Amino acid sequence: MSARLRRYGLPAVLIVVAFLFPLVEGFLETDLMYPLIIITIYVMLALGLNIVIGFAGLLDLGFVAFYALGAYVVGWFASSQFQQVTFSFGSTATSLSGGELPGIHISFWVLLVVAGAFTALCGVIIGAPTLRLRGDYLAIVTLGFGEIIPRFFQNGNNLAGFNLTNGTIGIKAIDAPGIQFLPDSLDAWQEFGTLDLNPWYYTILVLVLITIYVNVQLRDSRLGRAWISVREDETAAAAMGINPVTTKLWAYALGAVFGGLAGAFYGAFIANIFPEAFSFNISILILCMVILGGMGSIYGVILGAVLLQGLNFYLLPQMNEWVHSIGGALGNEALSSVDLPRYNFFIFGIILVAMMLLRPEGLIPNRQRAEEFHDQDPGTGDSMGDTARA
Amino acid sequence: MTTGEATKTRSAALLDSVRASSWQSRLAVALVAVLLTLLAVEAVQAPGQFLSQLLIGLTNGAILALVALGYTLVYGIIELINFAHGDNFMIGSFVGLTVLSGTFAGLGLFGAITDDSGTLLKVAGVFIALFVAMAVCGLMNVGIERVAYKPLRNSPRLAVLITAIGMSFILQNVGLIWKGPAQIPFPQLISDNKVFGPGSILFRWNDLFVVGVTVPLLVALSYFIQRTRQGKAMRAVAQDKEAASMMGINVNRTISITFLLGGILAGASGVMYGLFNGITVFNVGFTQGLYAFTAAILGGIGNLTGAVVGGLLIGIIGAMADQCIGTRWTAIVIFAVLILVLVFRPRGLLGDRSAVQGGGE
Amino acid sequence: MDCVIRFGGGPAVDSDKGGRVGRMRSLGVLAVLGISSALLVAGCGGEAETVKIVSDLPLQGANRAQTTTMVNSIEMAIEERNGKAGGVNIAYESYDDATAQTGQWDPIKCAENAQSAAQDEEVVGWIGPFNAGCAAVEIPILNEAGLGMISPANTYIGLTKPSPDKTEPEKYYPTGERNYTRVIVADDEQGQAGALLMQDEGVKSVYILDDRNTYGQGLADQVEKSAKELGIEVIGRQGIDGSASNYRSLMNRIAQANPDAIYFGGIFVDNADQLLKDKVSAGMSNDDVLFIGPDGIFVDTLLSQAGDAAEGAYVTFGGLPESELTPEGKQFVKKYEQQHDDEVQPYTAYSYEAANVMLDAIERAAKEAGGAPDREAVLQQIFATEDYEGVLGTWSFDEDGDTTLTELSVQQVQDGAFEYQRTIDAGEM
Repeated sequence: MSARLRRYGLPAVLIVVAFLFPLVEGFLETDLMYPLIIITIYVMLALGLNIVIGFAGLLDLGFVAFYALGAYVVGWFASSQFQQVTFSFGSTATSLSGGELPGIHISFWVLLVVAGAFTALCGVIIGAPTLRLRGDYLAIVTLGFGEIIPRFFQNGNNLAGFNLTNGTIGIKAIDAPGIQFLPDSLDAWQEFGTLDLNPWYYTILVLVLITIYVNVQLRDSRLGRAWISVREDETAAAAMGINPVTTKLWAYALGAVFGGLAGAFYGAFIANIFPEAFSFNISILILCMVILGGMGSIYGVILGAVLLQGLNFYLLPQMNEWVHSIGGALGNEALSSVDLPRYNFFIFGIILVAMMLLRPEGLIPNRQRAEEFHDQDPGTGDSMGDTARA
Repeated sequence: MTTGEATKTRSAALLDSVRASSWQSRLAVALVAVLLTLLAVEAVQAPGQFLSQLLIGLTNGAILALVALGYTLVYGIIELINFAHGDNFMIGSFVGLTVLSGTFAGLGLFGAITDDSGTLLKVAGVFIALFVAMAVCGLMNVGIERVAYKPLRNSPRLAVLITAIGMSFILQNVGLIWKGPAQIPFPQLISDNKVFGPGSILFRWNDLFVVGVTVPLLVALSYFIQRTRQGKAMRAVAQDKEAASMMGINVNRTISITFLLGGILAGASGVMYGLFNGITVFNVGFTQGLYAFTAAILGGIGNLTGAVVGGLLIGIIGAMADQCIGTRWTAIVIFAVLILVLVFRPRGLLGDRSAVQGGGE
Repeated sequence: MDCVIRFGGGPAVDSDKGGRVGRMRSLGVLAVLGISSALLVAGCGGEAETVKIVSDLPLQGANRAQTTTMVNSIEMAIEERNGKAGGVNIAYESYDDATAQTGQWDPIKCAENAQSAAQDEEVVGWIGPFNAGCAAVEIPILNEAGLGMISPANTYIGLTKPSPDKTEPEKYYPTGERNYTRVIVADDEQGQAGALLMQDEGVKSVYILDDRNTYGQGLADQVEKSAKELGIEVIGRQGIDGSASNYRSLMNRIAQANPDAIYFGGIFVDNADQLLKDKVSAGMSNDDVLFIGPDGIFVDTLLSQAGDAAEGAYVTFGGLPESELTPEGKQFVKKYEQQHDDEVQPYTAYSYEAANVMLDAIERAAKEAGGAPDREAVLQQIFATEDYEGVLGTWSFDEDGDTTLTELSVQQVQDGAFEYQRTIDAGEM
């Protein structure tokens, strides 16, 4: 009984807290909902990357590509981007002028599935060339894809005359999700607006919970164990009958799915997609979260995401204001004009270097990984376990 | 730093490799042939423009080659992709800029050297900027190795790679804080006027400058590697670290010297980039670094000649892509080259398989 | 650089009730309290209420000098009224929509700022933003919140009027009601002005470039349209990458095409200075091949960064520079420069005007509401601005939220500074 409690107690408490949070927040009237939603999106992204790096040991430096793909799927099929076509399916968007609404407008919930499937496919396509590669080269190839795809979106407004992605301007006015058949008393849920953020929050929360559940199931499944063995010694794994090709492709596909879902939500939430938002820095930010929290450790990764994105998005600007007011009060010029958010690359860089030097297994380590990192016999390493020079 | 494969006659070896080649390599060769013919058509149609684009490509490529050498030196010796190398290049350009502005940390050392200064002052300025940048970047590279990479020499590869990424970020932020997020102009010390060239093919002073700095550096590097003891030590360590240390070579010192060399090259190319393009920005290291890395891979990682060849090739590919497909697609083309090379021929053009342990086939 | 400034009165002072007091004394104190609070209540309808206005500008990067003056001008406008409008205290907060890493506006920050203001019930008016791309993100959010906006600087036409994109401008107004206005002339006029300028200068062929962003591309589209109407040949149209290190190949190609002029639709941070430098080094001096740009590049940093290459370049501006303002405008400039160390920039007068229009609207709304007005009332009053006499002249908002002003100016770079050249009245076109 107590083992059960230990196992399920903490998650249950956390889930209850997460569900009740908006009520508390509404009562206290702090302005935390928006940052919290952004943080939760990143939790999902980190969990997705955790599958690729943490479980399967494949260093993916281009994870932002899946984020972008998910967002653009929503952008393509839930906005007026393709005005040449008029097609609507379960969408919340209506034409104010009463006529037909140009563009493709499909319900957000359907698009979640579409985005997931599409990014999974892209994950397989991106992963396929890397199968024979190990270590650094794998990382560089994924980095290459991570650079190509957003640049493609940035320049995709003139593909032999066809405007696929609307280029740097991005796709605007993306339809909001909504559950139309609800009674009018829940009108915030009929069409998610910008004033009441609770429907958004609960949606992403449910998505994250699904992600966590899938992560846990995967970790303890045959596939999860196959990942561990491929990660530790690919040759031995193959000798044991595990197909490294499909095992790795599954890792990419599953990781991509969650990246895509997070991207889809992000597109709908901000209602505008700009290709510059999907830069290499985001890939590294997510990598940082996974590393800081602990590769392969679900709690760790969640903690890493909350800490880093909380720092980046919310805490640094807040601290900036506090330092300014202290500076203003003390009459200190330097303090009142310092710009803390400027230093966030710096902080991430330091975190990466420090973590690797001091505690590479992360804050809440996955025990298996921790052992791999402090392996006394480096000769039996894998693509990532290999020492820098055998 | 290539190891020798068993020597055969050139033609016999070539025939063997053709027979043994896979369908992928044949496809690749065919593709390259098609591209070259298209280029040739273009060349014939507008020779003036083609040649001036070629020249732009070569000069950009020369700058890339120096950076690529840094990557290849380090990878050859400790099999690490020094992610921070591109940002080292960026710091080099910033240092050069600071030297030319004459003030550092609020201390005015001498008057700023600008477009209007006298020729002698300009020349002196360029040389001083180059030397200072080379020194700073070289030492910085050694420092980075000592602090971040050396402690992890026996750690899994993942750890060092991530540390390198972290260092890259730190350097970028240093650049951001130092000079801000916008592009910063370099004083135009080398004039744009043409030295010689018929019609619209302009071989300008800046092109001459790039050649004039790159070639001596390459010659010096080559001499160092091939003819000096330390160079021999580097080649030995690259081949087999343990054996080298058993031969009495101080491995740690050799590695440090390698990083020093890489840093010197990065510093020089940073200043050159700034003077040639008239501009620098805190995140230039990222893209140029990736291009240079592509060049190193294309030429054959671990192979110095390969790095230079790769650099020139990437420069030309970039210029041709600019010309024929449009500048917006150039980055995608180069990254595609990167991916294709890594997937289909990780040893590059001139590299050999032994230099690529654990990185591919 | 966020700052919160409170103008006008502070909180009411609590009287001290502590310590042991005899019943008589406590009764006395209570009596005094009762009488004084009655007096307070009777006096000015309770403590003067506070409403808040916010501005959203990119306070970092190349535009910093410009936007700092804009923030100052808004503060000046509020100070001139002693921090009140219609008996209501005015609080002001300046939002920054730029990030340190890019030195320019960031869409997530824009969205977040809009959200913040939307949720803050005290906020009844919004001044800004500076960039059209930012506006595209913010207008729908603030539209749903019913918050009135006055932009001193957005000129992209699709924000208020139909554009080549069939879904504009409706897609920015999900509620169907307008909430966005601007005090500056929009790009349909600026595009025409650009074409007219070319015609005046005898340009027969033009190569048009844009920075592929909302404002730049929109403007380039307008110029292309107007140029064709005036019979000027558009020999090429190209979008550039604003973060490229140089444009030598591009300029090489353009030089081969031999145009009479190059038009660049875009903002300065998208590398306008590098374009100029590479244009001149490709052999196209600004005398042989004119360079014309819009107000997106009308910033002093262009001159310092491009150096000699900027000499002779033309810049159109959706308004008048400070030397051409009305007498009131010139007075404003004088007053500003007396009170501040920095100089008035092109948009400063526009933000000052926007602030005053906003304050006037709040005043009218407050009078009608008999106290602190709500957003709806302020919004209505903003749109009701008619025959407003300000530093820009006498003008009104039309039903789209655009100004009825029609004058644009042309500047040329001479001896390293922007010199006013002439005024073009788009109303006469």
